[in-house]
Amino acid sequence: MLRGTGALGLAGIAGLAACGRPVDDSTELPQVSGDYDGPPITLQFWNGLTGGDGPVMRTLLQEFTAAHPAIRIEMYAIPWGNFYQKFPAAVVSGLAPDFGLMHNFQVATNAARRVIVPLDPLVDALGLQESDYLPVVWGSGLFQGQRWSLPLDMWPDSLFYNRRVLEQAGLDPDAPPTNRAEYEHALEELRRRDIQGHWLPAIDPQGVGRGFDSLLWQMGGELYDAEGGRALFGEDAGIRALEWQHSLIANGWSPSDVSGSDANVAFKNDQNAFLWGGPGALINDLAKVEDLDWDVAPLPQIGPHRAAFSGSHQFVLMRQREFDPDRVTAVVTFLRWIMANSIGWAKAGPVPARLPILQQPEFAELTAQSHVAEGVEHIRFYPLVPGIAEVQTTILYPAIGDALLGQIAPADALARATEQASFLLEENLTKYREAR
Amino acid sequence: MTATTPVPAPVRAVASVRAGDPGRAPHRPRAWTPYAFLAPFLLIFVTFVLAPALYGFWMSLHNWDFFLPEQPFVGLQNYVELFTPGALVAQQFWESMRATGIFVVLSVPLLMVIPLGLALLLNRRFRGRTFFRAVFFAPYVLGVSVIGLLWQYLLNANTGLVNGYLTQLGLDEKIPWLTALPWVWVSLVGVTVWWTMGFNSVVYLAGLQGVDENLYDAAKVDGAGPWREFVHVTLPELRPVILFVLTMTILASANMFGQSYLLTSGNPSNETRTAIMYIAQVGLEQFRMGKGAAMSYLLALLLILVSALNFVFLRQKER
Repeated sequence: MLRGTGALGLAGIAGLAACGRPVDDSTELPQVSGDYDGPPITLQFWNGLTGGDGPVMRTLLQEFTAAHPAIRIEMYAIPWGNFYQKFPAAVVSGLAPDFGLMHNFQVATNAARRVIVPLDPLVDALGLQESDYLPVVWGSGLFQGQRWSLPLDMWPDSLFYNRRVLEQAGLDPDAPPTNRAEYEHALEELRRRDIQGHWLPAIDPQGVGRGFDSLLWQMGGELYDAEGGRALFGEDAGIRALEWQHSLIANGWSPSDVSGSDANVAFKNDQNAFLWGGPGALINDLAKVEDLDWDVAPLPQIGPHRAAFSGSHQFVLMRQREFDPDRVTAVVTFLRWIMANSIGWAKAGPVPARLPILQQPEFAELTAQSHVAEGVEHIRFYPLVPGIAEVQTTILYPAIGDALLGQIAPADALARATEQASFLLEENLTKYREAR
Repeated sequence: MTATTPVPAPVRAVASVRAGDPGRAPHRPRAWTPYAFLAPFLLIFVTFVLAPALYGFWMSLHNWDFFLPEQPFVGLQNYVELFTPGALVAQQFWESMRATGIFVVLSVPLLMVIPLGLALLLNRRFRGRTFFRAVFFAPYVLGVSVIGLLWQYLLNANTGLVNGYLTQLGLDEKIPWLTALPWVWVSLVGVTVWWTMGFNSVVYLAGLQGVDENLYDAAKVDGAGPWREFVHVTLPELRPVILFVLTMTILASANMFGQSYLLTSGNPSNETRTAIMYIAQVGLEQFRMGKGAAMSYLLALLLILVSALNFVFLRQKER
């Protein structure tokens, strides 16, 4: 009647999904070289590009096939949440796609699950060069001494600002705030004109925590220790980060009980001056709104350091029961092509991961993307710990939401989350020990 | 139940024919006939319910993540952990069971009483009756994702229509419908009642139409007013229907998932994260399937218990 899934039914789904054998991880990638020149071949490419980024990727695939007529690529886009559930099941049942795209913070988890394969045999064929990448981006594909993924882009959280709102408050729309004093001054000026300048979401599976992450790093803190066995976000830096966020609401610079979509709607209707968010989600979204006068800059420096949360889409090769050298060659042909042409991908919003691309004049023409790229050297990624995304989204983010909703004091929220995280981290350590 | 359940007339007739003529029964079914008729459903039931359920029990005895090379046997550890004070999973599981309990307690009485009143009204003769029957049933045909999105827009604290109108009516404080207690429960229960009361009303309505008019006439002759008619004729006649509605509503409410998933995402402080939602998170998002399966079994046992109590309640009433 309420159409929930019955408890038994749920146990059933889990049961069915598990009707496979554990992954056979004995297979290895073959050595390949050169471009694919065999008979026509069709590759399967899975990802979660269901938003405005999907059509951009499809256009790139068409361009690629125009350049390499023998290779056709079928792309399946399913929402990220489903993607992370479905593709491992496909690998286990021997129906794995040839390659996929995933978030950097899911690579270690899936490497530990052995549903993707190390790319080391392909490094030469791919022409990977460390000097083309920022150290943090280069390192994000390396886990336990092996390379598991190929970074396509980076999407640092940035400061999107509504120029018209700033102008109304007598602020210079060409000089967005860059540090704490300027930022708070701008917010106060806006408040005096009855504008709440930074709608801070307290509820949003994506947005709540990432602002906190950036601030925690700016305050000099770390989320976890190097092994991923202990959560550090409840220490001093984390508390100061969350208290600063809380002060936005307490000072009347943000309304209370904001959800992610509220902040966005208010921004588009000239009711909100600042949004902290990623270029992949926001650039195309805001560009679609007619008569909205906006721009973007790196996040202001609130703490003693500069830092911004960033994610990255990374290519991975799914584990097959047996690898067909022809298919692998075709995949490598595509990956090499897209790394050279990732400027096309920048149109979707993110900044290409390869630094030489950022020097191209075409990139400077993408105004918003190049403004985002100005802050790119300060980006931070989540540590490469299997299962870490779960700890973030199921324990840390809800705690931040609670504090911002005024349910619990910031320090208490983080202390409670630290304790809760210790259980999950411990469990993950045990569970993934095989892979360590 | 067997003591007093009246045997339907046709069955009685057939039975007496057989009794009178034991030697010849041209249409006597073979022993396996009923099973042949049941087979198609049985096949589906075994494949999609029974076998997975047993497999789920097997999983609940393991530390089960099917992508990892080993799924070590842990015996009843997953269950024990659910009863270990201080363990995170126990804490969160019982918190979610509490949320489910609160929702059941708040929504079931409303979903029993309001549809009954509605059915009584819709059972009267008046112009446009069919139209109103359709109107009250209409929300039920919408999927949970539709009503979730719809009410998300309406109830949003800062940009929602409901608060917008309340402000125009002169309310200064915006009401955090989806983010603070007790408003989250008001929203979730209200939306659910709005959404599903049409179904219960239709079931009641069918029951009402089965009530023998003669009983009302007899009550009138005895001098009963509308209230006494309701208490002494309508309610007793509806008892089987009420029991059906009660059982179904409790089960459905206990399985609530979509509304809080879409409207509140479990906020605030996981206060509205229901058991099903938590089980799905643990089992199907985090792939901690052994634990998820163990929780499913606990929830299922509890629901079987509640349903059994309903059944016992029925027996006592019928005696």
